[in-house]
Amino acid sequence: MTIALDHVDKHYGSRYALKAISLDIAPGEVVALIGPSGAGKSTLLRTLVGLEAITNGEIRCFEHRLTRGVPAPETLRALRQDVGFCFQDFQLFPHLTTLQNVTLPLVLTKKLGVAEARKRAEQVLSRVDMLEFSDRYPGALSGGQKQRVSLARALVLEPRAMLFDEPVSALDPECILDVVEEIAMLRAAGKAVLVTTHLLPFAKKIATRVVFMVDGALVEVGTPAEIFTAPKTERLVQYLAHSLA
Amino acid sequence: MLFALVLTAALPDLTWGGDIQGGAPYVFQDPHDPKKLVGFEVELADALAAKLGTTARFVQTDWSTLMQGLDRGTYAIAMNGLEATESRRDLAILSRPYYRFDLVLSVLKKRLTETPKTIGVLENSLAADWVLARPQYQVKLYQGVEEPYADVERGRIDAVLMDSVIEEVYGRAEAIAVKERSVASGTYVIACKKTNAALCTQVDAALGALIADGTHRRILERWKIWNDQQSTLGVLAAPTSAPGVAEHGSNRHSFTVRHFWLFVEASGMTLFVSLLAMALAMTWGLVLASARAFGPKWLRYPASAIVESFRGTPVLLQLYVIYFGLAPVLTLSPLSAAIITLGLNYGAYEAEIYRGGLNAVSPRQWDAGLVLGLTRTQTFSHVVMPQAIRIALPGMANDFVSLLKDSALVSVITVVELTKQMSITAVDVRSWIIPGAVCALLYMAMSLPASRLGRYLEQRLQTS
Repeated sequence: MTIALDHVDKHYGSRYALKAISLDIAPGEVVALIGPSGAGKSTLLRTLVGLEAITNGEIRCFEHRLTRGVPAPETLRALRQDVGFCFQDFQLFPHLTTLQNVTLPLVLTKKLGVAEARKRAEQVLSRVDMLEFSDRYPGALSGGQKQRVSLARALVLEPRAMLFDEPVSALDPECILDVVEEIAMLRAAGKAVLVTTHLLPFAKKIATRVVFMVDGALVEVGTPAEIFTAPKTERLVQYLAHSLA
Repeated sequence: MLFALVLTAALPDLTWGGDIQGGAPYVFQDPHDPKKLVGFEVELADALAAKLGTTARFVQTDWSTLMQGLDRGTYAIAMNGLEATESRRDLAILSRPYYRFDLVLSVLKKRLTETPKTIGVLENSLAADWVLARPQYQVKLYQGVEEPYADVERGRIDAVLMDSVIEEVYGRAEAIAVKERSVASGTYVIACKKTNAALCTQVDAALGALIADGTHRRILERWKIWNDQQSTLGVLAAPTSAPGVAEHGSNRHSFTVRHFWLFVEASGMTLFVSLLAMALAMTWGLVLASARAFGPKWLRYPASAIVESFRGTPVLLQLYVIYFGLAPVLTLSPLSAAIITLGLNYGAYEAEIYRGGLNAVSPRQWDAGLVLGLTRTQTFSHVVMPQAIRIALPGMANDFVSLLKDSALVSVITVVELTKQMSITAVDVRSWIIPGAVCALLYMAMSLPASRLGRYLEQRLQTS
C-alpha cells in the first residue's frame, strides 16, 4: 500500500478530532474525502504530512512511518518529499515571484544549484501553462493561476503521492475542469491522490473511491456509484438529501 | 509688633534659583537629612532675605537654563556660583561679587608634565568660555561637577578646568594633581531680572551690609572657603567683571556662515550616531524577537526582561548609567556609549515591532514552507522573516525619526551633536531664535527622507 492509516486517533482530552481511522490508498487511486464541516477531513490530510500530530495508531506513507507524538524532523523531511500538499488558499509566498516560489524547494530541500533548479522549475511551470508568468508576483495572479503555481511548486519535488485540501473551493467554476484534468494526469502517472472536498459533483467526477466522514470517524467508504446512488448509512443518506448534488 | 508681623507676612518670599546637581558647598542635600538643603549659598540666601525682612525660598532649576529661568520669572534672583561675565551682564543685572575664585587646572598625577589637549568643564561656566576661546584645546562639556574628575581618572579626558571652590571638594582624588592653580580668576555674583531694578538694588545693598558686618565672612569661614582674596570684596562696587579673562562670547557675534557650517558638522555627528544606533537596534531587536518567539524558557524570560527594562526607563537615565555608572567596570568612549545606549534602547522597540510583524504572518505560511520539506529554520529565514520585515519596516522608519530626535540627549555624555552645538552658538550670538530655527531645519532635513521612506514602504506593502 502507498498510504495506510492504521487505527489513527487524534484527541485533545475527551474531544476527538479523529477516531480510529483505518484507510489504505493504492498508487493510481484518487480518493475523495467528503463530509460536513468539522468532520476532520482537513485534519486527516494534515496528519498525513505531519502538520498535526496523532495520539494513537500509525501512519505509513511509502517507507515512512509516523506514530504518536511529534515525529523526528528527518522523518518528516523525507516524507514531505514523497507526499505533496496543496492548500485551499494556495499559500504562495507573496514576497517571491512565480519562478522563485517554485525554485525555493528545489534549492532548499533538494539542495540543487541555482541553474539546475531554474531549469526544472521552468519545465514544471510550462507543464501547467504558467511559464510566461514566471516574473509575476502572486498578488498579480488570478485564483486559477495561483492554483496552477501551487501545484507546480508541489510537483517540482517529484512526490509519489499528492494531497489536495479543498482544491476547487476558492476557484471560479470555469477553473474546476482544469483541476479535474490535472488530477487525471496525476492518476495516469501512477501517483496516489487524496482530495478533501465539499463539492459533491467534483468528487463524483475525479474519484475512484469516496470516503464519507462525520465527527472524526469514517462512516462509509465505496465507489462513487455506490456512495452517490446507493448510500447505505442513514447519515450519508441525510447528507446527500440535504445537498445540491 | 503685630503690624510688623503683618508687614513681613505681606512681603513675598525671596525666591532664588540654583541647581542642586552643582553640589557642595553651594546648594546641596544634607547627607544626614536629604530633605534639608545646606550650603554656603543657602545660608547667604537666608541672611539676605532676613536683611530684606522676608524669608528665602530655593527653586531647583537646571544649571544650563539658570539665566532663562530668571527671565521667565521662575525665581526673583539667581545665585549658584554664577560667574560675572559680559554675556550675563547683557542678560541681567548683576550684583556686587560675593566670592572671588580661581580657575584650577587639574590633570592625572602621572601626566603632570604633559600639555593637555581635551579639557573637561562645566557647561555654561566661565571655565567653558575660557576653553572655547582657545582653539588649541578641545572642550568637553559636562552637566555635573563629579563626572569630569572621574573621566580624568579614566583617561577619557586630559584635564579639568574648574572653579577652585569645586576643585577643593571634588578634585582631591589620589590620582589627580593640580597643574596650574590660577589659570584665570572670576567672581560670583547674584543675578536679577533686568526689569526688576528695585529688587536688585535692595539685594545688592543687603549683600553689601552682610559683607560690612562680617556675616558674609562668617558664613564663608564656616564652609572653609574663606581666603585672603575675599577680603578685597567689600571694596568692590557692583558690577565688576573679572579682569584678564578672554571670554568666548564676550563680543556679541552675529550668526554667520561659519556658524552654519558648525551646525552642518554637528548634524554629521547626529546622523552618524543615529544611523549606527539604528543599525544596532535593528539587529539587536531581531535577536531579542527571535529569542522571545522561538527560544527556550531560559532565553525567553531574560529577553522579555531586557525589552521591558529598556522600554520602561528613560533614555537619559540609560545614558548616564552606561557611560558614567558602568565606568569602573567598562569604560566606554562617549561616542561608543552614545551609539550602544541608543542601539540597546531602540532595539527593545524594534523587538516589539518584529514581534508584531511575525504575528502578522499567517501560520499557514509556516505550514506551506514545512510541507515543501523546508526545516523550521529555513522556513523562518526564507518564508516568514522576509514577510515579517516588510510589515515591520514602516514602523522602523518612524522609529528612526524618533531616534534622530533622541540623539540630542547624548550631549549629556559630552558628545557634541546638533542640539548642543546650537546651544553653544546661542550663547555666542546671544539669541536662540536664529540658531534654533536653523537647528530645526537641519533636523527636518534629516528626518524627512526617513518619514517619506516610511510612507513609501507602507504604500508598497498595501499593493503586494
